[in-house]
Amino acid sequence: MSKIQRKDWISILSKTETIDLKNCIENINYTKDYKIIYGPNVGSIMIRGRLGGNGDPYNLGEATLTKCVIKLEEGVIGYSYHLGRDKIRAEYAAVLDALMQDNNYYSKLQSMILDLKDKINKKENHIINESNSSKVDFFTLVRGDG
Amino acid sequence: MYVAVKGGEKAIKSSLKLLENKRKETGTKSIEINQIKEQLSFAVDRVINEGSLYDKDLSALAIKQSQGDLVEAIFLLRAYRTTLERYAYSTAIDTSKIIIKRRISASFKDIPGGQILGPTFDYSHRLLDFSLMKEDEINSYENINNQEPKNKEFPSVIDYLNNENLLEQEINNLKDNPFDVTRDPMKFPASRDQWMQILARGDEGFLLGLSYSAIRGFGSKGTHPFVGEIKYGIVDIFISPDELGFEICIGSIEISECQMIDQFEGNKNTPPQFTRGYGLTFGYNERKSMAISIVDRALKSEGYGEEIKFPIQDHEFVLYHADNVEAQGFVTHLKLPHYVDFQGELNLIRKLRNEILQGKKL
Repeated sequence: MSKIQRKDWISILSKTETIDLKNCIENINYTKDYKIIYGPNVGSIMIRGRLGGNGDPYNLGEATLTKCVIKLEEGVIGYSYHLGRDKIRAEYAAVLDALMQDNNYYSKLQSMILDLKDKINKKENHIINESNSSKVDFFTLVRGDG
Repeated sequence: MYVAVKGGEKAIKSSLKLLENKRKETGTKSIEINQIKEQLSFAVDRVINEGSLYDKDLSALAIKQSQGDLVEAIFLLRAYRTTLERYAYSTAIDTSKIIIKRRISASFKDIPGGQILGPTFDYSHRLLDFSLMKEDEINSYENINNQEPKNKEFPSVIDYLNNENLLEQEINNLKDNPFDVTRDPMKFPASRDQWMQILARGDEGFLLGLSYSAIRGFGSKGTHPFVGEIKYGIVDIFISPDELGFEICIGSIEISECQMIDQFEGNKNTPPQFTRGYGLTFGYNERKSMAISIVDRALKSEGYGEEIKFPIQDHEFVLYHADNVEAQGFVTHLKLPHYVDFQGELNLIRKLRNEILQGKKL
């Protein structure tokens, strides 16, 4: 199994629900203290679109964003940035980001993170399959006798 | 002019109480935020756009608090937005990487990935469904199919025309800091980044009316635009925090996008070709994304050397009047006490009348 890149696990954590993040931490019995360095705090992010869909960036509007930074006893720092205002979720995600950077915890968490990824994929597949159920073929009728 | 008045604290307190009581006249069950989010999702999506803050929970809360007055809800969300520290700017959304919920083209019949109707009122009969009058429970939908879909790719439809150079190209000027109406003063003539932001948070009714005026003949060419493509679905949002030094996904949001195709007769430098209007909104807001795309095209008129004749082509007219928080603020301020002001007008009219009635001229 190839190693999960940090970028990828952060992405997975950002789309995972609070309860699943909590379960991951509980499943590896991580009970040590960690220090909160920042937050969890709710702020905003300006979301950008592209002019015409593929031109220059422009400011579309903001979204709420929760940021959290924690430090494990082992000294590793974990970050999380999540759309929305769920502070508990952001804190769990920051802890998991730190744990994943530690080789010892990584080996325990790896398969759980991959399961979370699978869960996200399945959810996305479900949405696409639902959409595809309403795929149509329009017939163009020729006018007149033609 | 409005002159400040004092007093009335007791009356105001009582008025606020009456407003709150209005929500619970006969003691019906309180609506849950999740019920508003799911069962009034179009209202929620309108409020996140015009409130210019993507947060469906807060939007639902604002709708509940404003008792369904959406312009008031938008105002509440805007006010909350100003209290937030801004952490970051996202990488521009890539709408070609969308988890599709709806995708249609009115210009091309056979498109790769197909025409996907998704959830739409388009083909409903617009008959009142009286069964909803006494709907007890809502059973959640549980037909899960999470098999790998045959197709996940939905390439941009208008790229067809690009291949033949029939369609105007988007020009990348690579501006680092696009205009931001929350921080920069308005300037005219406006740049496209400026108007696209203002249209995204603009009043849906105003933009719909403007776009209607254009296609009825009060627009740049008075011609019939074509929907190149409409999409609704979910896109990932990315940021590149300095402390990490690489790009990360921070979650996903729903968007609606419209690519509108319009004619252009050409000029000395450019042969005739199709021009484009673009609309992008948060959430499921197809009608508004279409309206924006028509207004966008009209605001580009000057750039094509077209004659500016109609309101929709006029940057100042459109951009200064599209915002419903500003519009409602100015219109409704008229109901605040103007006693001193009006007294002055009253005296003036009396004086003028007296002078005329007594046969005297100034």
